[in-house]
Amino acid sequence: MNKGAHSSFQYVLPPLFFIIFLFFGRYHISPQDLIHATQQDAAWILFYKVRLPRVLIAMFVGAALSAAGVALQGISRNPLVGPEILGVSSGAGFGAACAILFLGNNMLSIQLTSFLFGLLAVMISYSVSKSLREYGSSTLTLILAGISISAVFSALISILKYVADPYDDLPQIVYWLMGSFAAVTWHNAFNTLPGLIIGIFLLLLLRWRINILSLGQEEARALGINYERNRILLISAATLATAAAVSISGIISWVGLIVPHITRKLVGPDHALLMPASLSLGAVFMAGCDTIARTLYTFEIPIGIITSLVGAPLFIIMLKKGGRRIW
Amino acid sequence: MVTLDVKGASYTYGGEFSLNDITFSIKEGTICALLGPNASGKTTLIKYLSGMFGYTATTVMIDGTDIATLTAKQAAQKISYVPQVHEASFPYPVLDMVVMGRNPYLHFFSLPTHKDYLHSSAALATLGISDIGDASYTELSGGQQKLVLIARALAQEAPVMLLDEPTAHLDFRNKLHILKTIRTLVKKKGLIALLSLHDPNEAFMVADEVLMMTQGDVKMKGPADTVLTKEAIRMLYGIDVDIRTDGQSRFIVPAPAYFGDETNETTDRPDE
Repeated sequence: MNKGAHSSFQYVLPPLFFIIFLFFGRYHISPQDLIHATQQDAAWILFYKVRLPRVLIAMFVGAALSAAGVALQGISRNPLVGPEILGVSSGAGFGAACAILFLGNNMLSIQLTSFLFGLLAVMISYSVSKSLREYGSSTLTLILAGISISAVFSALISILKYVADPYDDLPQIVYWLMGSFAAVTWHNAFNTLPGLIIGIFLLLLLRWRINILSLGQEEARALGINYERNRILLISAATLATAAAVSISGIISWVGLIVPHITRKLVGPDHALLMPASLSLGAVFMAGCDTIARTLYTFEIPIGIITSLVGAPLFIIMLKKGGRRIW
Repeated sequence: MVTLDVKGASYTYGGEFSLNDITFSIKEGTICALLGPNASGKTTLIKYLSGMFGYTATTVMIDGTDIATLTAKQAAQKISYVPQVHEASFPYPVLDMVVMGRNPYLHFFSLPTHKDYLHSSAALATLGISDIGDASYTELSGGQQKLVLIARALAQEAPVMLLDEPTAHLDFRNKLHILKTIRTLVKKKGLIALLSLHDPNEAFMVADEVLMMTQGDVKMKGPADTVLTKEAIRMLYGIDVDIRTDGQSRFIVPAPAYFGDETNETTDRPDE
């Protein structure tokens, strides 16, 4: 069995790229600068207080969104599913817009309300899907409920955008909805890290069970798994990770959808291997895109644009390459 | 001696009885075939026994243990299930598919160990399909897929194996191979196998006992040779047949009038 062939790469890549990305930026900092720098120097402040938390959070957010994507694609058996499918992103977007308009417009309130509304949206989706139980398979109703709740929150976001002050609040809402790591500081990083870490950790622990859940309720039950309980657990872990990610970075779509596919192409469909490899690849991909976003031009490019422009061609190239079928 | 005892199993769906007070028991080393027309409750009974609807207390007993008192994991150590249609969306390698049968023996957060993979390889070897261990499940033929699902049930090491129409959608050769495989397994391992079949001829080939169902009721149970009579077939499927014997083999053929006589068509329309 060739179960360990990819494992060394996936542990080495994130720390390696973490260090590499730290030395990229509009302001050039070399390792020598750091050695000679004092705590008052711009290089020191920029490196330790701006870049370090930013690259770290970008990696965690990339890992969290990818892991959530793996879990939700696995249990829903649907290749079009991403972490935002159950409404967590639009819920969080609405929460953030509320905070910008009504709650003093500071990072802490944005983080808190977007996180809570993200969780709330998924809870509503889940309860709606339960009430639709008689109308179709539980996975299908869950996705349909998620899409509906997403639509409702998107409409609510539109209302808030419509009434927002167009010179001050509106650009900020729009900017938040496009996603960015520009506002990351150690302070707000520490607010988010527990959610990210717990979510990722749970998904890692439960990863092999996703194989069994992906066979559907009937077989999972016969193989000794309480389907509904395990599904709720996985959805909760994925939602926690995604809500924590969105609360600090805004809505960065596409990463949680394509990283699982690309990784599946590399390591195969077994979730025991897929989950850690996706974490690793998602972390590097997101931090890489963020590095491009902050270095490519004189002003920062919203990261959602980079993830799509880089991710889409990469995705198509990976799918076109021969080798194993992924779905 | 392990026995499966089913006592008063009932299940209603939409106000109608899908299973009406089913009672029977099967001893170890026995293959019991479930026969009946479509919608007679065969699949419902298999799903009921596999725990799909949750177990009602004292209705399913294995070796004196009430399955309703067990956790899902413990129940899976007693009863394995081979589904009729498996909707695979991921092309899992065959060995990964089979090792899922080891789940009842794993802790909540653990991965299958080397030992579990050995168990799974052994199950593949028992079924003579070791050579496809690395192949993608989704790319196999229907017959091979069925063998993999049986291997998975075998890796589960449960005394009772439920098979929902194991010969459905298979070609003639694969059909016979699956039946032979089930028979060999049951005799070698002393399992209890309950399988639903569409063709009563298959019951003659493989089954020690036959359980006949119509409209959610068990109408008859007993050894294949004594229960599978012309009258019983007419009762189950509503057609006239002859039962021919050739040496040790018995087989069921439609009565000569069936294809010849026009008048039969109005009364004996097949339900499919």
